[in-house]
Amino acid sequence: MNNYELTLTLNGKPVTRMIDPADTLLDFLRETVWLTGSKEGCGKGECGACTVFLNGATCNSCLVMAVQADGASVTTIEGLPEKFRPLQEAMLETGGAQCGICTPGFILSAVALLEKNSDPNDADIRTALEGNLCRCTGYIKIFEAVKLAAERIK
Amino acid sequence: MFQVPVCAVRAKTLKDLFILLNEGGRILAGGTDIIAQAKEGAPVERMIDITGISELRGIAVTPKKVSIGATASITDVMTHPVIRAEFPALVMACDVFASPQIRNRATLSGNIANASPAGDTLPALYSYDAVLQLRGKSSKRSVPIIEFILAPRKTLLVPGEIIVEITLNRGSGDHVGSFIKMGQRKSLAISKAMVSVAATRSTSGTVKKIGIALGAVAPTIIRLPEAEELFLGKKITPELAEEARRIAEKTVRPIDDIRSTADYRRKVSGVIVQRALLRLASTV
Repeated sequence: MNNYELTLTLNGKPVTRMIDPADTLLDFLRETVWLTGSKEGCGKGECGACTVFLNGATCNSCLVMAVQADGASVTTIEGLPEKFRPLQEAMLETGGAQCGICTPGFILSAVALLEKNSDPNDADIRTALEGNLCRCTGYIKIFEAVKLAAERIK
Repeated sequence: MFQVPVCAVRAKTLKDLFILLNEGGRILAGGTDIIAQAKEGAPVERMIDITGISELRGIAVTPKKVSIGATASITDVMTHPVIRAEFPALVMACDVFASPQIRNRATLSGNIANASPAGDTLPALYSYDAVLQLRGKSSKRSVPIIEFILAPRKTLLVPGEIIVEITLNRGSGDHVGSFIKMGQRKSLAISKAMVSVAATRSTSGTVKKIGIALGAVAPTIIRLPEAEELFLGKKITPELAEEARRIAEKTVRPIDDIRSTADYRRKVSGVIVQRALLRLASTV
C-alpha cells in the first residue's frame, strides 16, 4: 500500500512520491520514477548492478529500504556528472561494455574511485571495482576503460 | 523481491525506537544482511530503521577508548585515523569485508548482532577484547564481546535491547596486527576460515599483549589463549609461530558445509595462524 510520503534529492532535483514501505530504493528508482539505468542483477548485494550514490557514497540500492532514503541525496547513472562522461565513452572504445547490464554500476563505482584518486594504478582500479560483477567481458577491458578515462579526466 | 510481507519504519530518537521495538520488529541499520535474509524468506515482517537516530552515529575518541556508534559504517571504521593507527587487524578485516558498496552501508553493530560464525569483523573484535554497550528502554549494560555471542545467530540481547556502541580500549605501545581470510574469491565471499592477530609490542620488540582469534571454524569465534601465552614477553619467531599452528589445528571445531570441509578448515586454520604470525615476525 502506497502510504509513505518519500522526499529526497534525486540527481540534483527534489522529488516527492507516495511509496510502499516494503519498497527497496531500487524498486523506487525503477518502478516509481522510471529510472531504469540501475539494474537488478541479483537482488541481494552480490553483483553491484544496482549501484547508486546515497549521500555521496556508493551502495547496493537493492539492499536499501526506500524509507531509509527519506531526506537523502541519491545519484543514479542517469545523473552522471558531465565531468565523468569519458567513462561512458571509454567503455565503448575499449569494448568494456557487451550486454551493458553491469555497465552503469561499474561506471558509478569508477566515479567513486576517481573522486578520491584521480590517478589510480591497476591495483587501485581492481580494488575499487571489487563490488561489481560482469558475466560478459572478463573484466580486463573494463579496467582498461577506467584507466583510459582517468587519463582523459585528469 | 520479498518472499514475505515486510515493511520498514523509521525511528527518529532512541525513545521512539524503544516504543517501536516494544510493538515488535527487527533492527535495520545497514540492512545488508537482514534485507537479503527477508528476500530469501526469513520471517522479518517489520524492520525499524535506526539510521536517523543521532545518538547512535559517529566514532568518538578519548585517551582511554574508542567508541564506535551503532550506525557507524564499516567504511567509517576503516578510514578512522585512530583505528587505523591502533587497531590495524580490525582495519584489515574491514578491507576484505564484502564490497565497497556493502561497506558503505553495513555496520559493525550489525555484523555483531547478526552473529554469523563467519562474520568478518568478529575475529578482529575478539582479538581486541571489544566491549559492547547495550541499552533497553530502562536498562544499560556492558558485555565483553567474548561473552555476547552464544551460538550461530544467537546473542545475549534480550527483547527490547539493542547494541548502542562498541568500545575498543586503547593502550600504549607499538600496535601491530594481521588478518587473513580464506574465501572463494578476493571479494564478495563468505569466509571459509579466518584469523586475526592483534599484538602490542614494547620498545624492545617483545609482545606486551596479544589476541589471536579464529572465525568460521567453530560455532562461534574462538580465541587461542594457549597460543597467546607463547608470545607474552617474547619476540614473535618462526618457531613459536609453528607451535601456534599446532595449537590452532587441535583447537578448532569446524564443520563440512557448502563452502568447505572440516578437514580443509582444520588444516588451513593452522596455516593461516602461522602465516599471520610470521608476517608480524618479519616487521621486527
